[in-house]
Amino acid sequence: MPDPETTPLWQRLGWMAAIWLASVTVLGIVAWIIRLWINA
Amino acid sequence: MFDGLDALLLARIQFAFTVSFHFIFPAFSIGLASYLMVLEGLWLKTGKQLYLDLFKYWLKIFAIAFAMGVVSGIVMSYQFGTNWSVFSDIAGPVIGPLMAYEVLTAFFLEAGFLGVMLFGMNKVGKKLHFAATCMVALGTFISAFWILSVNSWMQTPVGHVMGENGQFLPGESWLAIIFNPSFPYRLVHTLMATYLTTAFVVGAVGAWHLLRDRTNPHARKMFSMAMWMAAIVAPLQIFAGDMHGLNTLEHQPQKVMAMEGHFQSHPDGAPLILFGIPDSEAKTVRYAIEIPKASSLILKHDLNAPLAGLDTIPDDEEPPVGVVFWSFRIMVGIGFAMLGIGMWSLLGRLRKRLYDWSWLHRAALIMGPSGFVAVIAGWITTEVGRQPYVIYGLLRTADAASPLDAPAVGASLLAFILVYFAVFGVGTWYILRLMSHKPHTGETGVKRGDSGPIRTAGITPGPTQNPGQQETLPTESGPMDSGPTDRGDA
Repeated sequence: MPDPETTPLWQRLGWMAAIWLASVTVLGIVAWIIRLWINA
Repeated sequence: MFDGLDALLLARIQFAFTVSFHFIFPAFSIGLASYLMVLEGLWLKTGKQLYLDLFKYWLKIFAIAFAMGVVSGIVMSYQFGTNWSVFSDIAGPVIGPLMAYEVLTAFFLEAGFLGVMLFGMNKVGKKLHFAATCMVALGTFISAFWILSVNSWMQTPVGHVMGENGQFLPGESWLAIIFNPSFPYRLVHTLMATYLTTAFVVGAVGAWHLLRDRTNPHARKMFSMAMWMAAIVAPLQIFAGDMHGLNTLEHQPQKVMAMEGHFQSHPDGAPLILFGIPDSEAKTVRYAIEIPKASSLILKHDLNAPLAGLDTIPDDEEPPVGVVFWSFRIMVGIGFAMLGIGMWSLLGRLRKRLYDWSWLHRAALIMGPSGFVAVIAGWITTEVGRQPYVIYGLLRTADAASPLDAPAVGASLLAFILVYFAVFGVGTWYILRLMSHKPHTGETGVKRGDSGPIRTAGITPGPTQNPGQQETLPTESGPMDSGPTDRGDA
């Protein structure tokens, strides 16, 4: 695995945005499932 | 099964149960997020591996505590609609936007950057990773800010106007609502409580491992950091609590009357009742052990200052005295015990016995869960002390509940109890299991083998390296010889 310190900044920022988006999406799905359950 | 029970009481029990369960996790994760930020910052500043190891050790625990906090918090939000629909309808225009800000913060700052914290170290680099950790810590603070603002507005409602349809509507400025009179005090007192809660958990884990191996540098460091926190923040917290109490006396006097057990007014100085058994029927505290005039001294800074009692309040405006009286004493008692541990640790430092004073370690271990008990007791004090109102002086709890029958509320309460104990019981057990593992050099974080598989020379793949785990292949000195787990611990 390449050393992240040598990776270009734009690539590291890209990874940050991608992981951030994935995390928010996962939590959104959890909240949506609980909403379905509560409203069932 | 629930036919003979009161739906309102069941709804209150359900909210008390779910919110108490929920608050255990943010009480821990708010402080732990800041602790992680400090650890990673120290690692970046000093370059010492020990700080990174501690960061990774606590990161796993933080992730689980955070996840359980978010999930149990989502349930809380929905409960406003299911069991407290009248409250939601009447107060929604004021509390809705504030709670929405909290949810947005939890989603977009805390949960979003938590993913980067957990999985991004090898992708984004050290500095961006530290930025993500800071965002999570900031997110927990902002989250607490909004929720405590909502709660404080319910305790000291100002800045709103009443609509013709009976709804609470925002007035000229949201700032008056957000920064209502009790909010600054509650924010400071609660945040310091979360820091102390975390410090005592970290201290207990450090003490646990020190009792097994006094030379473990990771256990020594976490114990030392936790004890500094206890020694510095516990006295500040007692001071902040006193200020909060004075604010409560000004805005919610009957809550303080219940906390103090003052059924009667005292025109010439009120005693401080240390212990006793409040009897709301007889309007007295039985077997009271009291210090004459000390309550007036604390609350008015004057030995002879008059203090009104619950005899000045109509019976139907009185909070349940027994619960408030005792929960307040539990909170204060634990606060002083925390102060005692903090001072003991300072003595240990002076005598150069911080890491080999077994009795101090045992005491710190016993005090590990004390923060959770204290914050729950504190919240019981302030929430039960607000009764019979849900919005103090304006909306009674009895008028805020959904028009549900007891079986409906009772069944969902039963479901919550079963699901919560099962799900969060497993989560808590797993956290305790992680804590029981000795912190060591080469902690792995949430992913095993962060550095990935290594290869020997040539084309033959070498054994997978699992730092922190036992060797997977036999060595010359034995099949399960001490692996990298123990390196650097001595």
